[in-house]
Amino acid sequence: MQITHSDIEKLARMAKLKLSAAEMQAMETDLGDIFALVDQLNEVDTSRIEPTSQVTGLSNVTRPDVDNYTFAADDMAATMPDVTDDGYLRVHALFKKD
Amino acid sequence: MQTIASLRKQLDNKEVSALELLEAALARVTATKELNTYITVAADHARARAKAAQKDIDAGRHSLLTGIPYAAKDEFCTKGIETTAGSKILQGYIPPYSATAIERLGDAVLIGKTNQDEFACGSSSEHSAFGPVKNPYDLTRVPGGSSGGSAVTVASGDVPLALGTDTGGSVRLPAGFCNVVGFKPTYGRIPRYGVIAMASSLDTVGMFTNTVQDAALVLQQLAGPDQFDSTSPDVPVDDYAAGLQQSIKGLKIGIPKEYMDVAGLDPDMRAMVEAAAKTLADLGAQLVDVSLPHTKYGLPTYYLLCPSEVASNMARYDGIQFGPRAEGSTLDEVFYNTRALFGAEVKRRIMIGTFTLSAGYVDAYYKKAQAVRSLVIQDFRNSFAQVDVILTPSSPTPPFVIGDRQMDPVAMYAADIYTVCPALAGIPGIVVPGGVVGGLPAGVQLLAPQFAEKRLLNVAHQFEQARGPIDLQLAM
Repeated sequence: MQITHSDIEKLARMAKLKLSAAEMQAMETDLGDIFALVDQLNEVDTSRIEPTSQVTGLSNVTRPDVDNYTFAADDMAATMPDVTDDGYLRVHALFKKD
Repeated sequence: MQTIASLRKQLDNKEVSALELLEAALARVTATKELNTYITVAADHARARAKAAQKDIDAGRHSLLTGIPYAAKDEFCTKGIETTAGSKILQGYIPPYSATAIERLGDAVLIGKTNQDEFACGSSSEHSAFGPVKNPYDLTRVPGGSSGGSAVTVASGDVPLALGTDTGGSVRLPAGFCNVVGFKPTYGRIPRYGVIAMASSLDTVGMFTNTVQDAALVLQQLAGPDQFDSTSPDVPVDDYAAGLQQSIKGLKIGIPKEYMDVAGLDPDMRAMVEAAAKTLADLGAQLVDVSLPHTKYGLPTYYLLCPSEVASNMARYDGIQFGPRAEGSTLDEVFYNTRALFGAEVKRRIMIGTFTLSAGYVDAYYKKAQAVRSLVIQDFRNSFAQVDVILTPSSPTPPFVIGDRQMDPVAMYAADIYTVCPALAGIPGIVVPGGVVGGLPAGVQLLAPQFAEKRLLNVAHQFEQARGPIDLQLAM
């Protein structure tokens, strides 16, 4: 798989990563090398093999739908970058007034 | 060399107090600052905990770990103590809760958070935002990663126990590089609640100790299901320590030819593993050649699945709810500017994972790798039908020099050749010091089927006892 400069730009946008020109260059080289490694998987015939997403064999693990927090709302608020006086998380507006 | 077992005796016999043990640990950490073992030393917190533990010891209401000093990789959330996962993007983050593993260690005394590769992305502990960790046996060399700090703090004699995480080898590789025992149980055996997620289908809580017996004792405390971790199966917890003394006569030890035939395996490392095999044979075990035919696809499979899951798990770091928030005039700018705090290796993995999970590519890449993962699992299932445990090297080479592989991702990934396949299969693995190669630590890895930790610890303990002392000197 050949990774082009335009691929890198698109991926960086999708991942919300701001890369400098030097980082873009390095990324092209490094990703090229890494994809050369993972492309080896094309040698394996997996046409009749089920994919494994997890190794526990568990499915539909549920618990009662009750509040089981081990910490208070104030403890959470303390981790927020910008909190209003009444304990709400403040963020930039998503929508503009017209 | 401290062990939990011996320190417990000293505490109970009042030969030493919990506070004295703690102060000795803190002094040693200060004296070996150059190793850059710790991101945070929580001295005041630890002193309060040591004093409380001593009250319990004096009142006779203590348990195995009361007052025992330990460390945890900075990937573990610790209530009230800064937790960074080795990253600037979590600098200053103070969790409001502790990981289940931390809670289950009860009144053991946490002395601090160890240094690591950022978000566990690495095999050398060079990709930390807080500087590389150094190997205590040779300060010019890496201690392995990503749980380098935790390996070093035990190897260097600060504490007898340190928690780590192992996703593709991040406990087992550093254990081999640092002359300590590194244990990765079955995926899900120890709950992951409160462990900062790297690759969720692979992340496993593990530990570093000086002896296999200590690992068995600690597993006893940590193993078992958790309502907060839906991937922790309700499988009974064995009495791990009780099984250690059992004879291994007649037990079948598989040696996988694909592992021993790896081109990059240092000949002296191979000889050391062969000597380990002989030690096991002398104890009455039977050596059996086995084949794990998809071994060479372990690294490509892992380095496709892992970054995919990393990319997904790193999406939460956007400066909105927690951690540092960068300036920006729009929401988008906040995202971009905050995520600029990630280091180079994390960015690489995010980029790969963004590609492999994107529309049009997910079938050819992520799903393909998941199918090869099934084949790797099948390889182990087939081998364990013939043998009880599998013996392998822990690393193709002794610890490499700091800086040698830092700029070459694929060369760095190659260090994981022996550890990734067991990780993909979710089986337990333990690395035990095997000997000395070129004056440096060298470990051997033992593997067992899922939830066969009792058998695995038994064989590892018997090997450790028969192997005898290792002739190595700490550099400081």
